[in-house]
Amino acid sequence: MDILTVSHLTKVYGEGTAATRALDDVTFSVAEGEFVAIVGSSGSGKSTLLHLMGGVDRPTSGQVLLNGVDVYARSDEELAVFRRREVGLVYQFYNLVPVLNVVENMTLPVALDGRPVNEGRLYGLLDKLGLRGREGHLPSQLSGGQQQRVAIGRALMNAPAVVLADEPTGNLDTRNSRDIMALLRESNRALGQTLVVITHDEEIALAADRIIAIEDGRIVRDERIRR
Amino acid sequence: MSGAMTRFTLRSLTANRVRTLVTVAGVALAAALLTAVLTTYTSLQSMLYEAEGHLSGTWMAEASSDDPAQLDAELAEGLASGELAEAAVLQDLGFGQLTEEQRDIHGSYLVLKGFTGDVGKLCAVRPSEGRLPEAPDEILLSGTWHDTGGLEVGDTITLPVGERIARVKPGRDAASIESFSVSVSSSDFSSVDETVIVDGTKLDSSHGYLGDMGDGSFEEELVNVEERTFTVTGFYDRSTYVSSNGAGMTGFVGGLAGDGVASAYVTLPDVDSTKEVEERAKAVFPEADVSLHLAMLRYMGVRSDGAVWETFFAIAAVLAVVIAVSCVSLIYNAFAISVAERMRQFGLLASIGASKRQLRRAVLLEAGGVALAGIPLGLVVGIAGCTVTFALIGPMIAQVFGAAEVGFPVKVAPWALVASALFTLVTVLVSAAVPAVRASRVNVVDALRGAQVDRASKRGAARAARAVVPSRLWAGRGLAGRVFGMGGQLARLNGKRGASRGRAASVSLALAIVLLMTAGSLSAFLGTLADVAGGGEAPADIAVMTTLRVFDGEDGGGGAGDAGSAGAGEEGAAAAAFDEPMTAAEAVRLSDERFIDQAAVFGQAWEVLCATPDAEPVGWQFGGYAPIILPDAMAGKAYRVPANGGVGGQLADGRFAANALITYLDDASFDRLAAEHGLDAADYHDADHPRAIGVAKGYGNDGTVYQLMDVLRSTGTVEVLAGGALRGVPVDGFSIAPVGSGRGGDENLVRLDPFFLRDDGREDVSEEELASSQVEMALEPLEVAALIDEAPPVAGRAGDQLQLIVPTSLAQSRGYGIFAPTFTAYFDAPEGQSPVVAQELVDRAGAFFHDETPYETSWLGMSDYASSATSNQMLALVVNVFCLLFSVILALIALANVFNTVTNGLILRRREFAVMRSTGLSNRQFRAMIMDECVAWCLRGLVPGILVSVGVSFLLYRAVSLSISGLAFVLPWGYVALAFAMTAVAIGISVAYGMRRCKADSVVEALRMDNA
Repeated sequence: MDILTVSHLTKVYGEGTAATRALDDVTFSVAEGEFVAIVGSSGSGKSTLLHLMGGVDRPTSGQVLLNGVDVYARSDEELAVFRRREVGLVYQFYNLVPVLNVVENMTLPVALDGRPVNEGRLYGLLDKLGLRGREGHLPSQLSGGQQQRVAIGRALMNAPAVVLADEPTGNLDTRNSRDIMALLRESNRALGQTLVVITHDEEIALAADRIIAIEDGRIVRDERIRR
Repeated sequence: MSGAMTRFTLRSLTANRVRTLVTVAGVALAAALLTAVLTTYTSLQSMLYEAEGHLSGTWMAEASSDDPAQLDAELAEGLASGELAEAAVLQDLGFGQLTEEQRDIHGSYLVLKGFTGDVGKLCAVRPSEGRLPEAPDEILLSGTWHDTGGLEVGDTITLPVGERIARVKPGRDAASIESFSVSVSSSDFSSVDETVIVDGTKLDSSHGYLGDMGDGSFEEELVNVEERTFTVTGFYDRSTYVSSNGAGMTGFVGGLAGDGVASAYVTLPDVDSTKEVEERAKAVFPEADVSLHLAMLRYMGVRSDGAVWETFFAIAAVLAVVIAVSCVSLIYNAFAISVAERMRQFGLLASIGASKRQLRRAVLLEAGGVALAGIPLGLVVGIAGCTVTFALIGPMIAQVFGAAEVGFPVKVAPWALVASALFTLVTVLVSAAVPAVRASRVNVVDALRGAQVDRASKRGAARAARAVVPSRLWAGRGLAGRVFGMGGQLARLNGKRGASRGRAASVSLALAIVLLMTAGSLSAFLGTLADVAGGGEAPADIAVMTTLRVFDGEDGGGGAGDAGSAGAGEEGAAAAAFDEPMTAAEAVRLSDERFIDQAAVFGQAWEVLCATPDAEPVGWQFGGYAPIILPDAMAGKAYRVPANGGVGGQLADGRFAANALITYLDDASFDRLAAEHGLDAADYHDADHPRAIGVAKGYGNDGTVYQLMDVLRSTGTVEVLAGGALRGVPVDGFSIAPVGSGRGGDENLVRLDPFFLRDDGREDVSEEELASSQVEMALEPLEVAALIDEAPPVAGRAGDQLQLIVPTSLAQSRGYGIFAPTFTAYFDAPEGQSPVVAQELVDRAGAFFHDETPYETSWLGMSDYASSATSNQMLALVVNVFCLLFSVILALIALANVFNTVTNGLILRRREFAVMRSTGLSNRQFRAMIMDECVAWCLRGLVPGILVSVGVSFLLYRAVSLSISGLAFVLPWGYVALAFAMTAVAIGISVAYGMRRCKADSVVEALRMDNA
């Protein structure tokens, strides 16, 4: 069953002669529990695609359906609720809130939703992410790999419909990169978490079930990995 | 590299256009304010200089000599040697005898002065009509000869001219009054001549008319009289010191002649100090009396002891400090933010080899760029602002300083511009110095690693470490959480854990409050000063006042009034009666008869004056001072404090003595007053049982400060000391003489001393005799039946003395020994008509008393309250406009600062906001978070800001209290509200702008700002 459907998605930045077509009529679907890697060179439009899927940007035309609901038919307020419940975002530069500690950063989406923190899930994630004992640390007191794990924890905390990760290992060394990818893979397998990862690293892409390649805002390849 | 650094700097300036513009605007405002302050100062100085020159002439030194030939020789040599720049000479040519009618208008004599040189410029002798005389038989006269005397240009005037000689009056004992001195001094000219005058002294124009001076022992005689005829060439309308003195108005005659006292009025080239002017003038005129035109020298900036300028400089310095503080805060904040924002860039530059010096310079260069744009703009704005302001209120300022004809043009001094520019530049560079050093100390590794700036404080980290219990996470919502929800909670965490979160915003807010409230206090207290100086509420537009001559029977005109017979006869009777021994009661009866008669005349005068066109009657009163004795229970604090002896105090028998002003208020006004206080007016018209309304409070000095004190504590009956007699001779009055402090030094003991002052040939009573003899006193009871706190304006003010108000009906029977009552009548006049109506009233009063009554006026005057109120309002307006402009500019600087700090504080955090929003922070939650932070900044800024403001206001209050007392310390609430409103608006605008900027770049872009 498709949990995420992207249809005829187009995004144009700028106007007139300065207009840049970052995404050009992109259509594809992601099934529930699927691990998709989107690859492409720098400027190919893959980050734009991710942001549009995550509800942080609005498309020029086209639709994004999550669980059959049109994401961009929602108001800004509804979109915010959508982001905190349905999507988990992981960025290259972690993007943690500097004044919040590890557990606060992780539980921020829950808190924003006004719901109580699921203690079991929090400790489970902390264990899996290897962040036990660092609950009270501020981002500035953590290494890059640890910060990225916090970001992943934040993305997973709400058990979203889909986790979208934008170059999650782009800022990490090889060992940390492998650990992070292993974590994401694990969440996919163990929790059935639907996962879309953007990367330019073919090795990382090979960990996915499916690879979609983008060039100049268009899909140029969409293949399943057979294991 | 330096070219690259310059380009880098300019880029960063243009990259953040709004902040750069606001910073430039702040610098421009600071420079403008400084320029305006200094330009006002130079313009004021220039105006006062021009005004003084216009009013009194431009002379610097005056040399007077009774040897005109010698003076002339010295003058010629001084001009030839270049020691003197310009000169004019005035010389006494004698005194013209005036008829009695002319004397009433023009003074005792027509003082004749010859002149040479440019008296117009040097001595401000300028014809308002006609021309200056050029020949010895031509004359320039005061405009009063034209207005009142009916003379026209081209007419001739013939009068006896001679020399004034002092003579001892016949019958006076020359030995006992062998000499007395006449002091001639005018406030701003340093000459104080002390002349010993004896019988036969030749008097010059510096001597006042002897008949008006001293104890009346001297009179004058005009000798060597010859008849002279002059052709009138013109009139002058300005009474300056050379045209008017005690001897009368001057007529200026062409050329010098004879051996009369001559005065040279000179200017000197290249003078630096008053002392130098004096020394050089004395060197040129070794034989003459030299005096200086200190006012002129002061306004030239030459005078060294110019307190006025010291005050001006002090005010300018204080203002400059205030401006500097706001400027430093504004620029420091702007650059601190700019540097913090670009730390990564500085790291990058450092990594590719930029030295610390280059980095420092880059920031300072940026500051220089801001200064370069802001300062010239500020100078132009400052001068333009002054030009506009002076154009609007300049005429009023000039009028306040009595120089309406000179006006108040803007005078821009190059030094002021240079000083403003330099001061602002230094301020800018000093403000940018700390951020510059910070930029140069950038940690290259940290900056390049893109590590997030450690924005949490150490305490914040410790707090964060404790907040790990899942069940309690996000639990302690606090007030902020309750009001602003999750957004508020985030804001609270931010506030608690952030390193310097919002501190700049709070400081700039506090500063804005302090600046606005300081300006408000200044305005409020200066306004109070202007109000107090204005003299409170006037009873009416115009007052006409007179006192009648009592003893000059022979001066009395042909009395034809119906009250005449009694008055004129009484004088004779009184004079005759002095030959017979009389009791105190008889003396009082005589005095009262005269008083009652004068009261009737005043009543008629009021009726006559009421018929004056356009004069709307308000009320009238007359009265005078009399000593009273009051019981202990009635005497207020005013008589119980030391150092108030002249007003009243305790007698040896325990009762109190005080001088009281007994005011006979016209019956209509009195009845109104009684009604206002719920009293039955009828009680006060009973001649058999006289009653008065007492004024319970008065201003007095309690030994430390001048303040409002109780004069009367309760109602009761006082005794008026209406008269007395010593060995059958009536005394003229009793003075309340301080004896000293009593037990404990906190009492005020006085004694009642009888005195004589009439020059009626009675035998003198020696001091010893007065002290030792028992004086018979005539005491008349007067019941003070009611007390009021303040006398109505129409009753006049007794100042610091006791005032008892009775109706005029009582004057038909009781005079309480009041010697020469002063009559005052109040009228309103149509808008702008008060000077004309006032003159008409005075003329009518003069004519009435002269023609219709047996009395002559001892003096007759008027107060044009309406006109003086207008000029006071102008002064207050000028003060207020300056305060307002100052406040507005300071407010703009302060608000620019608030805008910069708040806006940039938000923009700096836009990535953080983007993270939160991508995590699901809704717009509503975002707004709530920012609102909550704003409230926190405001609270942290307002509280200290208000505390400091109150302190500053109090200091200002203390400063103003040095010159006036009774001033209550009040916070300028209007300004407090304004300060709140303005800062709230500033924060609102800043936050709106900052949030728009944060939202304008989408979450996507904000998140991409990895490389800022």
